[in-house]
Amino acid sequence: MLWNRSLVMYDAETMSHWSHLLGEAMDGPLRETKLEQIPSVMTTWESWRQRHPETTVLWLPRSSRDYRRGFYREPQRFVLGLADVNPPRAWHFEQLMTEPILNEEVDEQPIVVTFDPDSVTARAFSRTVRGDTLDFERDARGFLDRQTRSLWDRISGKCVEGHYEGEVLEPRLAIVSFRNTWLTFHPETRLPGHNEQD
Amino acid sequence: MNLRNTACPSGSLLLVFLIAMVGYGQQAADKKSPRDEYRPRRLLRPQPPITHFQLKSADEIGNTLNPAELVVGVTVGDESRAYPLNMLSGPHREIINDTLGERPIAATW
Repeated sequence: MLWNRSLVMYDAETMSHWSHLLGEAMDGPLRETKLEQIPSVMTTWESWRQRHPETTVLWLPRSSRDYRRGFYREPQRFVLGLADVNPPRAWHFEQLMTEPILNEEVDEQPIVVTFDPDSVTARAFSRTVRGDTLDFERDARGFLDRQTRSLWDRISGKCVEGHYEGEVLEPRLAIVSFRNTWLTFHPETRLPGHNEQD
Repeated sequence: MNLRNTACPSGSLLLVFLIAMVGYGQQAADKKSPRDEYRPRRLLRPQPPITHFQLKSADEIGNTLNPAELVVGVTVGDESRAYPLNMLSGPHREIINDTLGERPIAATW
């Protein structure tokens, strides 16, 4: 769980303690070891299945019924956070609901933050494709780059139509988090209302 | 709510994660990094690692997963997998030790 207190994991091999949110061993023989994070997406089953029909799915008896789209009924509690930049950045879900496509420059790297309201999916991708840096804008069907008017999918970052068809934007290691928990672990985050500067 | 790959620089280490609902001590409102002061609070004994579980295809699932249920989705190499949050919730779950695209990964939420 990610709410004020945050999960700590052990590994069976050394019993080191690992912070779930930081992905780093805090104590024990492996202290300061960092785990390599893999891009992932938090989304609805429907939106994942559509994009990955060949997917497999973990199957265990359900331990909860709470985690559906309605989990986000209080969007002010959530941010999309990016910690592998200096300083860390985060974006409020409330902002993304009104501005679902954001062209950003973080740590001198061009990225785009995308938000799909139907599946309540927030993501961040690199804006550079084949050496070209693109500028994006919203579209009812996804989002478009201004340079070629190609159509891209907000959840997968894939170009579905146009000049870049078939290309997939490189995902960044952004994660959805409770806002307060994110700020506890990354107090130097730039976020409106918190360390807002420049 | 993210996925971690367990591959370490040493290469040979397979990390299998136990679950402990150990609370991370809340920091005072000064500007120290949380890393400076690790004060866990133990709430439960470590849970056994989850290393075996069923996998289903989308066709096998049919309607047994509601379209609006949340999942964590990941693709490694050619393989895509979804981890439904309603199956990851609770102190006996939370971390799945898995292999995807031939890489050992820990899916955690």
